[in-house]
Amino acid sequence: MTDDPAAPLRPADAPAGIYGPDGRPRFFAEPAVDRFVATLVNLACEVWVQEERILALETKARGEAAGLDREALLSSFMQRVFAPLREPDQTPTAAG
Amino acid sequence: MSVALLHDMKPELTPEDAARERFVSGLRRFVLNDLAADLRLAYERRVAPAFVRSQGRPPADGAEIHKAMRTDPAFQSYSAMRVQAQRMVWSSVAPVVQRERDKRRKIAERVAQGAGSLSLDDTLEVPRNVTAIDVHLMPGSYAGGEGMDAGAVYDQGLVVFSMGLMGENLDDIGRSMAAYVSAKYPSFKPAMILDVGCTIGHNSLPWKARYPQAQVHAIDVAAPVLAYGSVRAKLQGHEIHFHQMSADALAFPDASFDLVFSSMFLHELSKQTRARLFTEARRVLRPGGLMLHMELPPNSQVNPFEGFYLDWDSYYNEEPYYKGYRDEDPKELCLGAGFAAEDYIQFVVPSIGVSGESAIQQMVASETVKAVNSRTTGRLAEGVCWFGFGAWRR
Repeated sequence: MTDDPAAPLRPADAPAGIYGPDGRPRFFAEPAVDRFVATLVNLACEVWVQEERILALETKARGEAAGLDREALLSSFMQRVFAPLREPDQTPTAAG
Repeated sequence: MSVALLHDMKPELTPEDAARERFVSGLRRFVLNDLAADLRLAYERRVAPAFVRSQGRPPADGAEIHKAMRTDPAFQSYSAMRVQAQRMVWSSVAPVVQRERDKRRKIAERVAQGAGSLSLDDTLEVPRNVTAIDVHLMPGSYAGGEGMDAGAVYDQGLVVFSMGLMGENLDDIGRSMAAYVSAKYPSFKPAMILDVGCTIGHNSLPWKARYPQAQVHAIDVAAPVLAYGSVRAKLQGHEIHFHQMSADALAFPDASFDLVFSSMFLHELSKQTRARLFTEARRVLRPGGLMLHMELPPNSQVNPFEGFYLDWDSYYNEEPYYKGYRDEDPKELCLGAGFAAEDYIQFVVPSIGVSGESAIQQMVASETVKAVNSRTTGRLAEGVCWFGFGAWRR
């Protein structure tokens, strides 16, 4: 940790190259991939928000009381959307 | 599991707000359980064997594992996803907080005469560990934004962040610690309690609830969280005295408290500030008083992989002192401030929200010592347990 008041506060033992020129963490060799992951996650969030709106409309159209288990539906959504990130034998399908 | 705050400042969420927050909590749950499990598998299957092949020995510590993991796709995916999830914690609640400024102002006016107090010090120079970084990637940190905004963002942000594991009032740490202390030391009845680095006072309240006769003071350097915390406490009928004050320069007389407490605070301080805090804590404790800190377990008491896993926050979550703190020995920190070795205590307590108070009482009664070196200690994931340590003042 430096005493320079203008310097960013960083761990003294941070390995070289783990932050980009913008000061943000870098995880992939190609910096654009870090941004792409963030974009995909944002997009997944927007899709989920629309999913909940559709669920609400469908429930109302059927005249049903709102009794959906949104947490369970979201968990399933996460597993489907982000399955490619899992270790190959750890996806719900692979695990049976 | 989604939870809703218990007090009147809890935000009124539109269906879209609720869906967005639910997504972020679910994303964190996925990252911290599923991708974290994959991270361990990647280490065991690929990274550790490759390290042994090249070095002729296993990694000695978390730092070596960190360097070795950097190029593994499981680490890259986990980390990129976790950083984005953390940013979304705050971005999902900020619009709601901004929308409800007027509501909070009116509530603050309504409860202004309630029990408790707020003392702000506009001469206090807020330190760089709060102003120079977005702590936990929270824009503006604890001291940014308008009025009480930072407090409101932190409160509702913690709801999203904690995935229900901190309870509806975000007080699971304080409740668990207080339950442990009262079960373990039934004759200890603190009359004066100080919570240092309290932010919005969410873990100060359980001490007042546990020891209603006690006078409870809570300090922090950031005015917005204190102002919010004061209203939050009054709304719940708890008399807490909030002060804008630095933990390493306590404006309290010698021997004025029976309990000095902190939660998840030490890792946000520089090594020098942390040492001064311990000295100050001892100074303000009365003989027979207890200094108690809830924190992440130290690296010396966990295996290298757990150390690597927990220290991730130091590098990627704007918590630059996190690993430096975890590299220190908690007992040595106490001894360095003048506490006696035989007066040192440490323990791991199950989350009261998960296991219930009876589990804590049974653990104490049976003299069970839960292991520090566990995947559930200090980690916000299923089955979380909290690590505590401190010392008695002679």
